[in-house]
This record gives sequence, structure tokens and C-alpha cells, in this order.
Amino acid sequence: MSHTNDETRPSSRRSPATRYAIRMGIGIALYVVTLFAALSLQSAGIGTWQPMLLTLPSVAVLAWSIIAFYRESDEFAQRQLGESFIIGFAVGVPLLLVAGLLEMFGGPHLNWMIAFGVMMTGWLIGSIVSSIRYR
Amino acid sequence: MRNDVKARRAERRWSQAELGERLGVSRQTIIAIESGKYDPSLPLAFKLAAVFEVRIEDLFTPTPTE
Repeated sequence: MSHTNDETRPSSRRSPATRYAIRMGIGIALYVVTLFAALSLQSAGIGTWQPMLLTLPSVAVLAWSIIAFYRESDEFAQRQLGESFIIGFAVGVPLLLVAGLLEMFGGPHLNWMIAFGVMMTGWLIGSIVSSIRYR
Repeated sequence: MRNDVKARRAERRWSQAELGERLGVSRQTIIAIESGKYDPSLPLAFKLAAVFEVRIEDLFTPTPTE
């Protein structure tokens, strides 16, 4: 009956938040490096979109950093994280659906990148709501 | 759910961080439990009872609506 996920918690004395920041930093650094490598390959005439596949491993690192943060946190932090994800999802997905439907019926064309901003804003709102709830 | 965690911690002169360390949870978790904003899982409730050397029902009391 483990409630703190001790079996998955490394022996490091760093907090889950610190480990998350380190892993996320590594993922972002890897993304920037592979992005520049992909752009260099493109400008050298090697492939069109294919060099961008080089950035995929960094996406896996970024996803792992978030999942590991959840797993290594204690049960209360997991509750707060879970709630913030749910709120973010509940806010972000309908907004993207509405934007997509509007576009289908003559609305303005939006860049895919806006989806990232919407989902991250939803997560931020969820984090704020969750932290206020348990203050 | 009401609980006597704060009073029992004060009896032993433990800080919230110290109790959290004994239980393997953060200080924020102890704060949320003591304020009644968060009801711990059954395993954590049993661990709290063990740390204070009491029965779980001596530590937690259901509120009338529960």
C-alpha cells in the first residue's frame, strides 16, 4: 500500500519539481539543437519536411518529463496535477473544436501553433484554479 | 472528514515538514490535510495513524454529511 510511489522515486534528494525542471530543460535544449540541425539540412537541400523528424526524440523527452513528474509526486500533488490537466483539457479542447468548426464554415484560418497556446493556457488556468481550491 | 492531525503533531512538537518527511509526502500535503481541504488516501491515513500510534478512527472523524 504505497501512496507516495516510493518504488518509482529515485534516490535523489531533489524534489519532483526540480527533477521535472531539469528534464524539461534537457528536452527543450534537445529540441532546439535538433531543430537547428533539421533547418541546416533543409537549407542544404536534403529533404523537405523529413529533416524535421529529427526533433521527434525531444518530444518524447518532454512528454516523459511531465509523466515522470506526475508519477514521482505525492498523492496530493498528483490530485492537483490531475485536476489542472482535466481543467486544461476541458477548456482547451472545446475551444479548438469551435475554432476548427468556424474555419470549416468560412472563419479565419488559424496556425496550428495556436493549439499549443490554447492547451497551455488551459493547463495554466487549471493550475491556478486547483491551487486556489486547496489554499 | 475532520481530523486531529494538527493537534497530535503539535503534541509531539513536530513541524509540518518533519511530519511530511516521516510520511514521505510534502509539507503542502500536510497543510492540506490539517486544514481539512484534502482527505488522504486510505494508505496514507493508516500511515498517519501509525506515526501517531493511534487507531485510524481516533485520528479521523466523519462529518455528519459523510
